[in-house]
Amino acid sequence: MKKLKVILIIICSSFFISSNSNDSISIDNSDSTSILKENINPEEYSVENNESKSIWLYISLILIILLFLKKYKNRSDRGTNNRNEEDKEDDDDWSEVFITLGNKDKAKKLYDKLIRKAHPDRFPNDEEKRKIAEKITQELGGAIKAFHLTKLQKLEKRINNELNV
Amino acid sequence: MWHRIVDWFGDFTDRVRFVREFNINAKRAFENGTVPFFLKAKVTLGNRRNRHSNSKFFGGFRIFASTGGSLQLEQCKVIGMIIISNQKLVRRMITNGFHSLEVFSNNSGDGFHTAITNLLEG
Repeated sequence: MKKLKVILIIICSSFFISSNSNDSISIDNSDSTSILKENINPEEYSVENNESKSIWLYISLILIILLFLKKYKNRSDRGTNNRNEEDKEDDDDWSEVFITLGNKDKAKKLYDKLIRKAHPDRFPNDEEKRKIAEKITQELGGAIKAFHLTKLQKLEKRINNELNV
Repeated sequence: MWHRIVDWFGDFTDRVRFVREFNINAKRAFENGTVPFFLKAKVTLGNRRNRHSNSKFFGGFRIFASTGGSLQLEQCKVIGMIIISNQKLVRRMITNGFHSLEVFSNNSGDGFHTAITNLLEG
């Protein structure tokens, strides 16, 4: 940060010095300069001067912008830890989606297996179990819509415990 | 005026981050072999009929799926359904100004699109 400030000060000062020096150029009456004077078009000469000025101006402007950006970055870095945690959470959302996408065939197979196990028609005599089976089949339908493997695995455990199949 | 500009930039970065997260995760999943197709998300105009109060001009979240062969419409639907089933993602899409979700196959051009607001539960 300090380095950048020093560079900025140097460049700004050089810009001002160069602009002042260009204003105070005095042309000697020696032969060499007079030849130069003849060869150089005064309009072109002034354009060159302006260009050199503008280049320094642009460089200083860019440096100022960089300085501000760095300052802004430092400010935003204060909350990076929290933000990183948020990013991780957001990443988890998408990674869940891709995991379910990858496991969709497994989920289908498991669903086919569980729907046979927990079909309400398998318990014609036991009403309690039949009601539980109806509930579970509804939940199975919801889980397979989203190809949710973990939900299906939980339901499998429930079927094993509650229906004793 | 100033706070509006700042808000606009904030929203824009959130949207870009959202799409970038998807692309990074899709890339990782494809490279690891967890997903058989390569998905890539893009922001589009979307269907204007699906607009809601928070939607932006570019409110379409389009996913391109590419495989070795051609991806069928049913598979595109499955991808869409899996994304839709995650309510947190749906809510994030709405807050980020998306109004339609589109899943298209890169090879055959088949695909489906839905309005995101219809998918909100509760």
